[in-house]
Amino acid sequence: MNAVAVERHRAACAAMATRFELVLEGGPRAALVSAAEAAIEAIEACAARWTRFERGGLPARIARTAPPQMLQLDADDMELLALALDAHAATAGAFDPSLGRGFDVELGAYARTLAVRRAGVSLDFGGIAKGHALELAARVLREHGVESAFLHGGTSSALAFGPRAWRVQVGAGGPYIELQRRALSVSAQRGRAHVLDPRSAAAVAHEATAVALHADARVAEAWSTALLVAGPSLAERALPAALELHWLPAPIPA
Amino acid sequence: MNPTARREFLVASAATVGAFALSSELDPLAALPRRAAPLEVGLVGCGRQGRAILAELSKMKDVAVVALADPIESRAQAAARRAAGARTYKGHAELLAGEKSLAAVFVATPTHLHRAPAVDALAAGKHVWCESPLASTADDARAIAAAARAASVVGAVGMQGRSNPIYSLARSFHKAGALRELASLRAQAHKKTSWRFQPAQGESDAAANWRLDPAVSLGLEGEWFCQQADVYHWYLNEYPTRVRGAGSVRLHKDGRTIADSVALELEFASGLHLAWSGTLANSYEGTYESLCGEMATLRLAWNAGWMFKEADSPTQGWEVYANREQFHDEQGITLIADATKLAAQNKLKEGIGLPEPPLYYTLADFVAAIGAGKPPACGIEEGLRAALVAQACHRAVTTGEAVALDPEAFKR
Repeated sequence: MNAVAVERHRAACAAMATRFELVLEGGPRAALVSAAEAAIEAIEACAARWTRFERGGLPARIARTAPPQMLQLDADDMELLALALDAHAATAGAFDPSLGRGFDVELGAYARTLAVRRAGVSLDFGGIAKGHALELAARVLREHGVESAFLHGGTSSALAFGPRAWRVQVGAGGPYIELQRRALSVSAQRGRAHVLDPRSAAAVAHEATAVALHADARVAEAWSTALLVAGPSLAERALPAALELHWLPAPIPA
Repeated sequence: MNPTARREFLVASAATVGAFALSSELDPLAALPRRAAPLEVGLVGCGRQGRAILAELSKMKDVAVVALADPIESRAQAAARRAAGARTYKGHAELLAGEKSLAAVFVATPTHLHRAPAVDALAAGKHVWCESPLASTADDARAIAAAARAASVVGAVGMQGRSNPIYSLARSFHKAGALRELASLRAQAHKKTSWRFQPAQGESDAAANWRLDPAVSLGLEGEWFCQQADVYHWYLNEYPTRVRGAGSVRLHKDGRTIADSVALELEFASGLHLAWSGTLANSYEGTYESLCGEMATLRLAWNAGWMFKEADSPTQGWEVYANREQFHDEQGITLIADATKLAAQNKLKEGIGLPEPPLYYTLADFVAAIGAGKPPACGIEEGLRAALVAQACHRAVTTGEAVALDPEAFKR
């Protein structure tokens, strides 16, 4: 008996200075195409919203805000900022969008507002925004009825949903991981020290690869960033439920 | 929560949260005094554009979206999640009947379904903002314009160029003679996308993909070019007298007949020609309009703009401090809407781009027009003219024949 070929559609876009790729399975093909386009729109909108390089981005708007002004946020903004604040606290500052300058914001959950404790709060969500884009894109795909998909942003953050397990290799020559209904994030430093420890404002000296797996791509991305900064001792802290951390002391080529 | 209680809650909320941070220099709402109660508005059409409108309205102080109408229940409910507490209705008639205190209605239905909600809302004394293009037929567009003339309310069409702070700045350069004699006009809208959307639950494929239905759709000429045509109407203060066009399906060969790639040429009485390219097959250089003049070229790309000066163009004093960007072997002066203030603060680079998407400014301009009792940046009459041009372009593409436009049609 011939196996029924599963319809598969690949789509890609350039955003956040990297390449996002989506692989959708199921069918029919026309539905996969329109779902992928809607997901790409979500990724592009997320990139425009969270970039720190554009005036219309939320980081720039936060930087322009001074007490007692507040920013009105939407539900997606609130979700990301709440997760970022949680990760900042849980990692004791190893994950820090302010890069040590002070993550001085407060969220008003009921009215969806953001207040700053001082003027000129400078934030860089590069350590979590790709995960956020993947989560938003996955949500759009599910809303479009897509049952199985694999998404990645610049190969350092990936997310899979649906029944299928996707075999993913960490770097070139690194371990393989079965990714099923969860997200993977990899942070690495090799060669020149380019990663900043926000707790000390000093460059991270070690070469390593940090891997985090979690159901939420944003949590995985924040914790892989923190793990690379703080080292394997981070795993001794209270971790979010179902978070899996792997520390690879040898840097793996990308 | 009953309507009165909700209104009280919103007033209380506004008092609690204090000042909202917007870039007040560019925000048309910043100059308005706080309202005692929020402006209650409704949205008709909760599809993709409707949801984008809701996202922008949610940023505005003193605006409360209290009612939503869409025949598709799942879409209305999805929109209601973005406008907490808003009541949902099956259609605009029910919304107008159930919301007597509503001040304004935003119409974001498919283009060929603008007429009924716009005309009925205007007749009910509501201020109306209608998505571009105004309508897919001349009859519909004229009916909406007639209803607007008969009503003493603010009627606006969402032509985003006219309320865009960068476009206003660029136009002021043009009007001041920075370009001198215009020689060439060129614009494009390129985006690689299928234009095919998955129906919402309970929605037919035909309803979801009305843009691909030749019986009702104006194609790329209506859905994309209309906005750009209006930019040229505004800058040139004239309308085309003749249009030619051609289109074909280059990429999306899925049975559609609406062209996915279109070329237009518009001729103006002044002798200027505008060349436009639109495609769903390629994304290179996205969407922009350019005006090439004897002394400089303006290139406008909705959330950014640049001026490229000719070598023999006189240098102005402010250019010394201007931000410049390199485009291959050309250097463009970045158009920054509030440059003088930012330069004084040594923050010129922070002013690149727009603090909000262009859609925000057209919506905010409408809300500000209601508050200030002044005409909007793009009224219904101007929207009618742009719609007539888009319809002529679509006719040129579908027939392959040049279409003459009667200048009398633009007079009023």
